Amino acid sequence: MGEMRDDLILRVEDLTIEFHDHDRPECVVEGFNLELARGEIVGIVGESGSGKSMSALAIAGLLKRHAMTRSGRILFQGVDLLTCSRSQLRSYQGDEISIVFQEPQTSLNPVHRIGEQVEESLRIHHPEVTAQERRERALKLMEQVGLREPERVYRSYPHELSGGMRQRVMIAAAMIGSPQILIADEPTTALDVTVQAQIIELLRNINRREGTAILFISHDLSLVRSLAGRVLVMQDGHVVEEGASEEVFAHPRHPYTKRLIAAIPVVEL
Amino acid sequence: MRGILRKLAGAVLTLLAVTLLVFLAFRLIPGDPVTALLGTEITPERAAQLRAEMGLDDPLLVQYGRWVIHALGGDLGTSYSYSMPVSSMLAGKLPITLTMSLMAFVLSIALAIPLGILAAKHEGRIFDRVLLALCQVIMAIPPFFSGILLTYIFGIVLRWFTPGGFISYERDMVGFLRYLILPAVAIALPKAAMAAKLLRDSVIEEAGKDYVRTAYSRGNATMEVMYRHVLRNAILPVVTFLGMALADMVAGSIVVEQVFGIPGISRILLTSISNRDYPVVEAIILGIAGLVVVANLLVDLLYRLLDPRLREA
Repeated sequence: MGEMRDDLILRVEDLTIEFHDHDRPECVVEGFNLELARGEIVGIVGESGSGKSMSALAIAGLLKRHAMTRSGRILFQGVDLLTCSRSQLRSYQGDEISIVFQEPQTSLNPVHRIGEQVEESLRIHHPEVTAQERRERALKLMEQVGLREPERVYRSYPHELSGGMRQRVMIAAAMIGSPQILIADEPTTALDVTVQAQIIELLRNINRREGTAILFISHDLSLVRSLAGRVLVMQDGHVVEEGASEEVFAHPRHPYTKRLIAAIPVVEL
Repeated sequence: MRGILRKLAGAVLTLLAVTLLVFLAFRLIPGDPVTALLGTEITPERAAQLRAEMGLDDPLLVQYGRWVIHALGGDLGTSYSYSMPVSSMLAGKLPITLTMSLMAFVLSIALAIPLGILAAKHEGRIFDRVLLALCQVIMAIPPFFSGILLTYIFGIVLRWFTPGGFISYERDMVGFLRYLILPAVAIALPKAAMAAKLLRDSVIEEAGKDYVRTAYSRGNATMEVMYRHVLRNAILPVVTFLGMALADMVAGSIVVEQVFGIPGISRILLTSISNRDYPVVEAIILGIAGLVVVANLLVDLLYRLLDPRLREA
């Protein structure tokens, strides 16, 4: 098993993901490397199809195992998530490594109450916690993520909430197990701009308060810059540029990064 | 609450419409109970006299209105051919038919749910393919034919029961139920096959949705994802189908009773139709229509229970 620097909690080494849907295997991610330290926020930026979401899903252990092959290593607490047993992987999922998805509209189960969904990871991983305690923790967390009237939301169903509220619910559900790593896969793309800013602020607060390391995935370089200290730029399955966000933003070296920066709309007031 | 009241009103209207239709249909087809009752002793005077006594000379709507008022009071009338109250005629027979239909219903659920889930889990693999092919075949076999097959195999070849035999439930409950198993299987098979395929397709569709990925991301094992998350969403179309199937099974049991020689309502229904014994036929149709309506209401309630998105509507 690999040794890691003390402050590192995740190291991805040479991750390669190939699809087998067609005759020839198609490489969606190739030679992906990443180091994530405790309490750090790292951004991955790129267009759709660049492999950023695939890498995120691989780290969250959510790639369908039969449709593709993976090589390389994803080391978490010295354990390779690509080769460890399913039950070991499950023991991390939702407890140590959580993920928030792009589509808050469809990522919640439409027939379960919000409270049940927020508490789910806790119920699965910590059966010793009583239902009463779970409920209290969920309500407290829901308040912290900015859901007003948490009691009412707790009893609601997803279709009764707005997109922004659902994404807050998803974040609360992801945080209930106090994970080491929170993966946010385009969490604001489906939301309008004001809500987007609130969600970014919320993630920043979670990072400061809980010390949760965040892997923030977005196609929007300016969002990544405002949140992440370090950024990886991906194109066609490869990391083409990597560095401190400010540095990458101020002095992009790769032409693709320059294009991404040029594509950010300038708002004149 | 207002939705439910509206549903109830709709149910009552449906029952009125169905019974009125049956009532009118019977007056349109040739033959009448008077001819059937008097047989060879018929003379025009006696026929006219009897017709007047039975109230058959009144306008149709008056006759129908009279029937509705009596039925509301719980009086389903008197059989023309047997001169006994319809309710006591059916009292001994209805439990048999209903028990059989209910057994078929429970059986089809008990078969369809595990098989549908298992097939979906093995999508595209051998178990799934064999089951799908089997479902396709079974769906196409009408219950009366599978009834004949089952009678042949279990009654004549294996001798597990006496073909045409029957034990009344008043005498021996267990024996009674044993004689109903095979007819219930015959009725249940095509419905179970259909429901299993429906559930399989629905589970496969649901399993690709985003909330399933979320469920996995929280550390759920496959079976937990299946039973806690997918099933409740996937079962909705199956509930609709089974609601319709329940009524269908009661209707289908009339044919199957003939094949297995079960003395349910089928014989009474058939002889009453040929004797133009209106009150008996009306009562049985009312019963079947009532069952359809109740099944629909239950499906509706179950739907609301399962899917919160439908509750405000």
